[in-house]
Amino acid sequence: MKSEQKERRQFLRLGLAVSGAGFVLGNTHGCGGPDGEDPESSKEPATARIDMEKWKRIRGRAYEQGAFGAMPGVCELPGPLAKRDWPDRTKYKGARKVPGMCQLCSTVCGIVGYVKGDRLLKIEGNPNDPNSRGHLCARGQAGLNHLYHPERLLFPMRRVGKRGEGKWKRISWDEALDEIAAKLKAVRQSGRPEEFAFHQGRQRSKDALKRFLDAFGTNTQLSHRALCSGNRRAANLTYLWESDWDLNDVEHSKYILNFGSNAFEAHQGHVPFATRIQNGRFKNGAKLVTFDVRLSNTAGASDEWFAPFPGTDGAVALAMSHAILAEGLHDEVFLKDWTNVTIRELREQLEEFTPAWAESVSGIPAETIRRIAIEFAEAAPACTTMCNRGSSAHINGYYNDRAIGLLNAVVGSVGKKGGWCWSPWGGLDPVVKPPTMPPGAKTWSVLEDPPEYPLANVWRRMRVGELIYLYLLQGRAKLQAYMTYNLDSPLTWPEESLTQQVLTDEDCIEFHVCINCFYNETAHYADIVLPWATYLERWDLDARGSYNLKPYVGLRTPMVKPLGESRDVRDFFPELARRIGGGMEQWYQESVEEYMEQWASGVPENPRTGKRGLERLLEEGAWEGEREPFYEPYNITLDGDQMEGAMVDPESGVITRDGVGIGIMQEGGAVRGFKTPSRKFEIRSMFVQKIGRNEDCSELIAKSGVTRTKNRHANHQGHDREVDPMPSWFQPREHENLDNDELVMTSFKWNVHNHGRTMNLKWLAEIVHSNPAWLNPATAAEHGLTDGDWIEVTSFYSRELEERSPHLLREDLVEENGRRVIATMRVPVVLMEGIHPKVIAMSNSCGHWQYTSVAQARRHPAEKGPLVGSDGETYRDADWERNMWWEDTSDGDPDRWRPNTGKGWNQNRLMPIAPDPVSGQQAYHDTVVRIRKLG
Amino acid sequence: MANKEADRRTFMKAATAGSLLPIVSRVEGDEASSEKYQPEEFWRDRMAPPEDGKKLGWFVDTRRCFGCHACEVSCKAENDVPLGNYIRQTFYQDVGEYPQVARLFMPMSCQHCEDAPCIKACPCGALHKEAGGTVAIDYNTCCGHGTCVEVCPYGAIYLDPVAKQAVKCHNCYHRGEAGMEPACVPTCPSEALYFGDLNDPASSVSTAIREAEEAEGGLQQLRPEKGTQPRMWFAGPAPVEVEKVVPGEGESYQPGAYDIYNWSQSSSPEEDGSTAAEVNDK
Repeated sequence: MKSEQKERRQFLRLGLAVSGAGFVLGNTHGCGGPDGEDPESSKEPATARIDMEKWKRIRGRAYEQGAFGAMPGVCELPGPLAKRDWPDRTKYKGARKVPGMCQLCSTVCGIVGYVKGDRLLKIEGNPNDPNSRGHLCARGQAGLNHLYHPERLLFPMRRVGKRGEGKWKRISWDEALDEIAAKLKAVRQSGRPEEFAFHQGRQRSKDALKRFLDAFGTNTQLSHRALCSGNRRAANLTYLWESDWDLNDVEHSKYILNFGSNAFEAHQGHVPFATRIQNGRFKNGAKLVTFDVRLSNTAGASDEWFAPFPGTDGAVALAMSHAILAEGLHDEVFLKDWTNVTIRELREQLEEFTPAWAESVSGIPAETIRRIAIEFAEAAPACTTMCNRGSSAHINGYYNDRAIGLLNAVVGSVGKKGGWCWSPWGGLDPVVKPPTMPPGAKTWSVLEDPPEYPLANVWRRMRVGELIYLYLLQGRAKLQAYMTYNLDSPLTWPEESLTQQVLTDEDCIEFHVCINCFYNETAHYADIVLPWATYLERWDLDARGSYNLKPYVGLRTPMVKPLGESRDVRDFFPELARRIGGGMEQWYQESVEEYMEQWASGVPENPRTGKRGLERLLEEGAWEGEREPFYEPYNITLDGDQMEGAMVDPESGVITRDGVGIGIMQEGGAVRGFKTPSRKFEIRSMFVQKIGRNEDCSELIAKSGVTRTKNRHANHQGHDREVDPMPSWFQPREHENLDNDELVMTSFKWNVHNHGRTMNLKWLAEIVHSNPAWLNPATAAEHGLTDGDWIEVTSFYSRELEERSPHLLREDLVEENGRRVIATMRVPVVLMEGIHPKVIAMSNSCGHWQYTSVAQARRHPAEKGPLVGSDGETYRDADWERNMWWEDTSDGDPDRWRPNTGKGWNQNRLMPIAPDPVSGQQAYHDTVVRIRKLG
Repeated sequence: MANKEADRRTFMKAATAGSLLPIVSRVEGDEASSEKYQPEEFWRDRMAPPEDGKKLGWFVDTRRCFGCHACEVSCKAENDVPLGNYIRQTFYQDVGEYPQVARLFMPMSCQHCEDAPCIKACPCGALHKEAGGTVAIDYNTCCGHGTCVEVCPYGAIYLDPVAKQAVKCHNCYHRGEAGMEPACVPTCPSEALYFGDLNDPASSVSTAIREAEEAEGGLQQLRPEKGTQPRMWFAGPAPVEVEKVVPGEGESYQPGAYDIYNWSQSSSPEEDGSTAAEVNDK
């Protein structure tokens, strides 16, 4: 059989060779089409059936290509005359496997690149990565679009028109670095080094950035943390101090209670977390229950979904704790031994938070709340909550997340296998240490440490990023130099127009250097743009809090040489430092490779291969040490050495050595405990109360043992805030008594996009490029709306913040029926069963007006200006020029626009700057809007 | 109330019960399709794979799939699939009414039928089986009649917009020969896709099938009434519902499959239940 088949193949080839010789077979009946009835014809050689005439007639115009050749997605099927197979059986022959780490979101999954010559053929997950286990999401799979993109920035540019005008000139790296160095040198000499701000979006080169900024002497390193995870971190830190990140051990759970997290589509732990949730469910029998105002894919795939009123997750969670205590299903031992409240105190605290009360604010039936609470408690200790922006990105988000975390203490699943866990390692195994760092800079800036937010910067830096443009506008700070890095603030920050205004204003920001792989909306307001190497072309050691509850070390390494003149900061910061001089250069002695070798030197030898350090990582991509998962760390016994010279407080049992907390006496003896002032899971936190009141906390900090915790800076005096020491809940006052035409707007991420950096990738944009507003059919009916109708959305500022954060108040916001208007926008609606009737949902990621033609749903560039920094001749993508089917040529005219075409709308235009008064977390899900039918 | 609070499983059964039709009697292919078939002598040899003792097949665990599109994009990257065309696609379907709503996901591609209509209908003799039963296309021969598209009951074949040749899943046999799995399989974050040798009881696909059969009491195939003996089995609630939106004869996967503007249409109750997946022992 096999030989027969082979013969047939050879025969076909032979036959084609003949036909390819250029004569016409003349089989006018050809393959006869579908009605090839002539039974005789089947006896002819198969090749005789090829209708060459027809093929020539219908043959399409071939793709036009640049010097680089076929770009990803440009499929060159051979056609009948070619003599090669498709798929190409030799594709992987001789290809090298180069390890790396994805960076299209913050999950940083391990990847492997298949490289032939200078060309990256394919990106796959790296099975050696202990966290992601070889899986990779759609974003990671689209990395080829990121690397090989006709409009990628490959050359430095200097602005030639007015700022924001989009006129550019290509310059050399020498010119660019000289100009930047001269400016930064001047800032340094001005005596106000804090007026040089570095503003990062997604960054995974922490050491390289910090080295540069510390060597320079500025502490003004701004981030997007408060737009992301500030409240969840603050809530976790309140309980744990040693970690800001709960790692839910879902793979070993029996019950997973999800408050608003969309782990199946986004989430910082996306792929590793999602895989383990499914393993927990389908291998361990866990139940997944989701509370979310919108049917996300996580909610949609859950065993049960409930839609509470926005921001009431904490109310539901407190009521669940109430119900568990009422049923006597709480873990008495854990509460007594390992929390710092008595059961009676807890009952008193929760007394008013009954399921009936929670029903009145959330709309979730009290019976449901009770039932889920009982199910959860009955699964203990193998049960865990999970939450993320859905519960935390609210004005009351800090309290939501504390309330959710409390459930785990009540049932005693804290730190248990299958329970609510964490890891003291941020990610990287401490066996690897970067070469000596410069001493930390000591400058202060209101942008980096706003005094109004008590929990923003105490345990660790959680800068309140969404405020910076407003504070610059208010004149509370000014910037002589501003360096942005992988940041798309006009798109991803609230109040797009305010961001644009400040970025344009040369009095607020004198000089702006943008480092990015693509010309995005931030680059549009820069003075100099530097082409950054992609994550597939540069070095890092990287890891994130692993769901194995163990640290590891991953390697990001150049799979191919950086394209064009693109460079990584590891490569050009040393040159910049030398040009600035003044001692900065001393921190750059090694080459990048030497630096990486030194950094990775702690990775032990693989006994099988004999390789260690960087050499081992280059082969394997990731390494996880032999450690026990971080279960029940509070029960670890303190040994004699640790206890030597230790003092025990007779009342609390807290053990200190040299005044610093190391553990606690329990019945079984001296144990590590929690790293909090009470050495217990702190349901009552005196620290947050005292920090809010600007009282001295040095004693509490010492007892916790987490001595890097900041007692508040003198600059915070006069900005007192009441922070409840106990888990509690309040409703933002803008949500009270909503009018009929008022809805609460929520935002969300798609499974194929990150916030602002993936719409340029054609394979992802093809799947999602538009973001109509979701409405419940009942709500739509009330407004006389049907699918595809257009509405005008008007968004309003927060009433809660008007009251609680007067420093943010702007008199320029026009008042309309008792609410201050932020912005209006026109969008189409889709009617969806999976959304709360008082909610309107719009995704982020859409609505780019820069960031390549792909992101703008155009087959050809709208503006040529920024293209001087690209090389579209060499890297020409004929597939996208020809096949992009979602191009929108309606120029914003709803009558000419076709559904599912175009680039969508930037929802952040409607979002007010709205920091949670406690941590500063941006409240993305509280905005009240009014809608009006158009047309 | 009790009914409203039923878990996903019960709810799914209730939601989809209406569309479950009695088991359709097996027919030897669709009549409209069989008219397009070539005489058996022409395709008989191509229907039989070169014998290597393997029987390649698929298992799709729709209980685990959460619709992330990773398989789809990995396939695009592996095979340079042009925009607007798909060898593989992820289908969505919302079921139920607020507040009882769920979303079903199902990744789809060629079913690599044992009795493949595309092979029978191909007038050029380009469609054939590779080792293990992979249904593939010989590009030295294919001249783009599109008859295969007309007869495929799963809409799994498209005509390349430039070469005008037919394109479909080929089980990434070029990767298989290099010791790699198909591009869609290892990337799947939900671990919903399994591919391999069904003759090997220890293969990941055989193991997954066995475990799912045990847990679910049987597996499903898509449109078994077409009689094509697909080599793809499904577990979970999705096939019955999602089948309604999967293209059929004469169609190819379309960009609209994941069109947010169509979600509500596809989730509204259908007038007729069309065909239903049935429990089918392989």
